[in-house]
Amino acid sequence: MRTLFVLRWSARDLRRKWLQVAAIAFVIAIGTGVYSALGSTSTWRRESNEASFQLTGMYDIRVRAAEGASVPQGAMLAALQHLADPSVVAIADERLITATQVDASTAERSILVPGRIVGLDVQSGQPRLTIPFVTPGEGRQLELADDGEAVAVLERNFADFYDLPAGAAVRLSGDRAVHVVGLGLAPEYFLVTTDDGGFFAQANFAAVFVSLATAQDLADMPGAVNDLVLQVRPGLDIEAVAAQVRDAFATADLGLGETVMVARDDDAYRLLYDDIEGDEKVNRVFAALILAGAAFGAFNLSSRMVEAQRREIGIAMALGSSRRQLALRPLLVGVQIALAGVVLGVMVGWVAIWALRPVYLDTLPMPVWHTSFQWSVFAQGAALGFVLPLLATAWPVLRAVRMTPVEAITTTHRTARRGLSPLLRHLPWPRSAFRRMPLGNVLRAPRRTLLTSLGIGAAIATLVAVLGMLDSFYGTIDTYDRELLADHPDRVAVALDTFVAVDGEEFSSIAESPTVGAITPVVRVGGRLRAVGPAGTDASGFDVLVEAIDLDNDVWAPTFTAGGPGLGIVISAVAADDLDAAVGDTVVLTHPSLSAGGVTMTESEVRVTGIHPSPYRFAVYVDRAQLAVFGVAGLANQAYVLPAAGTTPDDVQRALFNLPAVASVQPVSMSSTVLRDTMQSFTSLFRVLEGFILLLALLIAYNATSINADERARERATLFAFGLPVRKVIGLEIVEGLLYGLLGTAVGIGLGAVVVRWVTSSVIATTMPELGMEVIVSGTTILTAMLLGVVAVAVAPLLTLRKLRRMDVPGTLRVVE
Amino acid sequence: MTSAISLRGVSRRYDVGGGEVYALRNVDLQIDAGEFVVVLGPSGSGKTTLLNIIGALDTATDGTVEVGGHLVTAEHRRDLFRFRRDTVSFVFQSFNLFPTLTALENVQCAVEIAGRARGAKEKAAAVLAEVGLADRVHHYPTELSGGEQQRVAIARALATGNPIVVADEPTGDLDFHTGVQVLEVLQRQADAGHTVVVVTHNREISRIADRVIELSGGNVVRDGPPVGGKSAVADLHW
Repeated sequence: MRTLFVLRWSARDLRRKWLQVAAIAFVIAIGTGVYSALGSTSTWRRESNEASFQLTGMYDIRVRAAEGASVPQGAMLAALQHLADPSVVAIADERLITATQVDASTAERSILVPGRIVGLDVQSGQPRLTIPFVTPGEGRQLELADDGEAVAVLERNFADFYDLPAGAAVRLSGDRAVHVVGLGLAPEYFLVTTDDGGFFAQANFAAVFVSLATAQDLADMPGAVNDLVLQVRPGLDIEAVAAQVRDAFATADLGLGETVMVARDDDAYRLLYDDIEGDEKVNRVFAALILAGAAFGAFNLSSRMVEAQRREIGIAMALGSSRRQLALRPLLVGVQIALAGVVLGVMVGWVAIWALRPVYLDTLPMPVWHTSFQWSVFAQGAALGFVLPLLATAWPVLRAVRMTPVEAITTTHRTARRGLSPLLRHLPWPRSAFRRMPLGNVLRAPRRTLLTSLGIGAAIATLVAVLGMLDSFYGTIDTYDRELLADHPDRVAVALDTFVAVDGEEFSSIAESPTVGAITPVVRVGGRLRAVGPAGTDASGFDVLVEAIDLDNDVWAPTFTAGGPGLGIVISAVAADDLDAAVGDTVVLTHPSLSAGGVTMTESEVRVTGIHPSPYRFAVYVDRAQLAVFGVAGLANQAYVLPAAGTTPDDVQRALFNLPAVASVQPVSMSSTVLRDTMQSFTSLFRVLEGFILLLALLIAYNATSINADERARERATLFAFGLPVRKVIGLEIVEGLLYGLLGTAVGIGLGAVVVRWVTSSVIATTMPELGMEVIVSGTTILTAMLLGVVAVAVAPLLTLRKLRRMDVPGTLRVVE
Repeated sequence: MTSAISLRGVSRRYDVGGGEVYALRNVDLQIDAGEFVVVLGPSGSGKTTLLNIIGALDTATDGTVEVGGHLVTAEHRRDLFRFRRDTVSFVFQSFNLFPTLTALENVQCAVEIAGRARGAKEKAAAVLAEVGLADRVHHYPTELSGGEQQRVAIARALATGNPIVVADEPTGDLDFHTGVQVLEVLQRQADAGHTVVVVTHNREISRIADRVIELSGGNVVRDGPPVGGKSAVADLHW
C-alpha cells in the first residue's frame, strides 16, 4: 500500500469517527491546555515581579534607622561619601517613615487602622525610588508642587479593600488631614505586610505616601529623615555594595542604630518570590493531575477505538500486508488525535490563561502583569499530549498484529469473550437473566472495565482533589472563625502602642468608655518555639506570637481540643505536630523578658498544657498568671473588648481610636477576612480548574459511552430483533453505565482524598507552614463526584438514543466490525 | 389451513448512488401455519431481505405484509417491537448469543423479553433439553461448539413460544454434522406446529422442506415442493 493511499484511507476513518476523534482530542486539549496555563503562571509572576519592581524603582539597598532615631536631612546621603567608591551608587534618596493612625472612615463605615507615613523625595519632580505607581484613572503621582502640601498617594491595596476612591480625605494622627490625590502601588507594599509578620494585611494597615517635607510636617519632625534607599550601578554585586554601605554608615556614626538591608530582606519582595515557588508546587500537582486524568482518558478511549479496527487489521494481514503497513493506518488515527489535541490544546490554553489571568491580577495587583502564552511550557504539555495517544493506539495495534489473521477477522463465537462473567454464577441476584446482562458486560472485559473505570476515576479524582482543597481551605477558615469569634462575633481588639499598667490611667480610660461593655487585658509579644534540645539545634523551631490572657475571662479565651489551662502554654495542633509535642510535654519558648536593664530574649522550658483549635501555628497562649516570666506583670499592650449593650464595634472603634496609647482598634472578624484573602489565590485558582475538570469528566463519560455503544452494536441489534424496545435497551446501558460510574467514582473519590491529604500535608505544609490546614472532603464534594461520576456516566447513553433509533438492525446483525 | 404469513405485492427498493435497486420486486407469498419453508437463492437474490421483512426488522417499500394476524406494514414502530416479542423469533447465521450469559441465561433472557418471566428458567431448561443440551446449560457461549451455540440460538427462538421461527443461514457457519443436528431441531418444531422459514443458499437443505421458494434478482422464480420430493434429514449430504 502506498503511503498516500493509507493517508486517504485514514482520512476516511477520521471522517467516520470525527466526533469521537474530536472528543478524545478535546480531552487531550484540556489536559495540555490547562497544564500549559498552570505551568505558565510561575513565569508570568517572575516576569511581572521583575517588571513591576523595576517600574516602581525598588531599592537595591535600604538603610533603615532604628525605631525613633532620625538625623537631619542630607546626613544619610552624606554618609555615602564614606564609601570607597561613592560612584557605585546610581541613585540615592532619603525618606522619613513614621508610624501613624489612619482614619479613612466613610459615611458608611469606620475605617481606623494603624499605618505608616512614607515621606518621599520629590525634588526631581517625582519620586525616583520606591515610587507609588498610580494607574491612569486612579489619580496622579506626587510631584514637586506637592512638597510640603497636605496631599498624599494612598496605598492602593488598602484603598481597594475598602473601596476608597482617589480624591478622598484621610485623617492621620494628630488630627491632620491629607487629601488623597492618587492610589498607588509601591514596591514595598505590593504584598502588604505588618511588623508582626502578617501578610495580605491590606485590611489592617495603610501606607500614606507624601512628599518628604509633608512627612516632616505631619510627624512634627522638621528637616528629619530616618531612611535611605539606593540603587547601585548595574552589574555590581549588591551584597558587596551593601557591606560597603554598612561600613560607610559605621564610619559616619550617625547614631541611627541603622540596619542595612537588600531588596531580598524586604518582606513583600521576598514573599512575592517565595510565593511563586510555593504556588508552583501546588500548580504543578494539579496540572499533572489534570494531564494524567486527560491522558488516561485519552489512552483508554484511543485504544478502544483502534481495537474496533482489529478485524480490518486481520483482513489486511490475510491480504499479506507487512506489519509496518498494518500499523500505519491505526497509528495515523493516533497521530490525527494527537495533532487535533495539540491544536485544540493551544485554544484551551488560551482560554485557561484568560480564566487564570484575573485570578492573579485580583490577588496580586502588581502594576505590570506579563501573562503571555508560554510556548516552552506548552511544548512540554503538547509533547505528552502527542505521545500518549500514539502509545494508546500502538498498544492495540501490537495486540492485533500478534494475532493470527483468522483470530483477528473472526466475529463469531471465537472472538466473544466472557472475561470474569463466570463470577456471576456465584451471584444469586439478580435472578433475571435479562437484568444480569449489564453486570455480565462489566465483568466480561476486565481490562476494558478497569481502563474505563480508571479513566472516569482519574477525572473524578482530579475533581475531588480540587473540591477537597476548597473544602479544606474553607473548613480551616470556618474552624478559625468558630474559635476566633466564639460567642462574641462583635469582639474588638485594641492594640496599644506600649505596655501600660492594667490599673493605670490609659487602660482605665479604655475600660471606662461607655461603648465598652467588657474588657480583658492582653500581653502580646513575639517569640520562638522549639522542641527541647540543646540551644542551636532549633532547626524545627518557628516564630510565634504569644498572647498572655486570662484563660478564664468573660470576653474571649481560646478553647481546647486537648488538655486545658494550667501552668504552661497552649499551642495549636499544627505547632504540636511540628514540635512532635503533646499535652504534658515540655518545649522551649524564646521570649522577651522586660527588666530594669531593658528587654532581653530568654529561653524558658515550658509545659504544653493544652491544644487550641486555631489553624495558625504561631498562635500561642499563656495565662496572665505567668506574666512575671515576661517581666510584665500587671501590664498589657492589648485588650479585647466587647461592645456595651446597644453599641456596635464601629462605635467602639470611633470612641477608642483617639484615646492615648491606643494604636489600633479592629474588630476581630477582620482577621477572618484577612485569612480568607490569604487563601483567595488558592481558592480562585481551584474555581477556575473546577470548570475544566467538570468538562473533562463529562467528555470522558460521553466518549466511554459512545465507544461502548459501537462495541455493543450487535448485542443491541439482537435485543431489538427479539422485540426489546429502545427504552429497555437504553435502560440496560444506563445500568451498565451506572456500574462503570460507581466503580470509577469509588476509585476517584478514594484517589482524590489521597491527593487532598498529600497536597495539604506535604505541599501546603511546605508553602504555608504557618497554617495548619485541615483535610476535609465534604459531603457536597462527595455528592458532586457521585453526581458527575455516577449520574453523568449513567445518563450518557441517552446521548446515543438517536443513533439507536436509527440503527440498521439487519445490517448490524450480519456485519460487525 | 390459515396463512401464517401473507405477502402481497411486496417490493423492497433501495436508493443507491442516485439510482434504485430492488432487493425484492412485487412478491406475492402465502405460508401456512406449521409449514417448513426453505427460501433458496444465490447471494443477492433477496432472501435475507424477505426474512427481515417477515420478521419486521425491515419494512417493505410497496405492498402489504401480514404475519401471524398482524398487518405489519400498517403497524406503528412501537407495535412492531411487541410483534417481534410475541410472534416471530429469529435464528441468526452467526448465532448472536450474549457472551456474558450462560446457555440457560441466553434462553431465559429471550423468554423474559417475551414477557413470560414467570417460570422462564424452567422453560429455558426444558427447551435446551429438547435441543439436546441438557448437560450444557451452565456453559458460556465460548465454552460451546459452533453447533451447540446454534442449538442454543434455536432454543432461544423456540422458548419464546412464538408461532413463527425464521432462520437466516442457520447452518452457514457449521460443518455438515452439526448442520444436520440443527436442521433436525428445526424440523421437529415444524412438526410440532411452528411455522419455520429457513433461508439458505444450500440447495441440499431444501430437500427436507415442505415447500421451497426460490428467489432470483428479487423475484420469486419457483414456489413448490422440493424437486424430487421431500427427503429425511438423514438423507442429506453436502
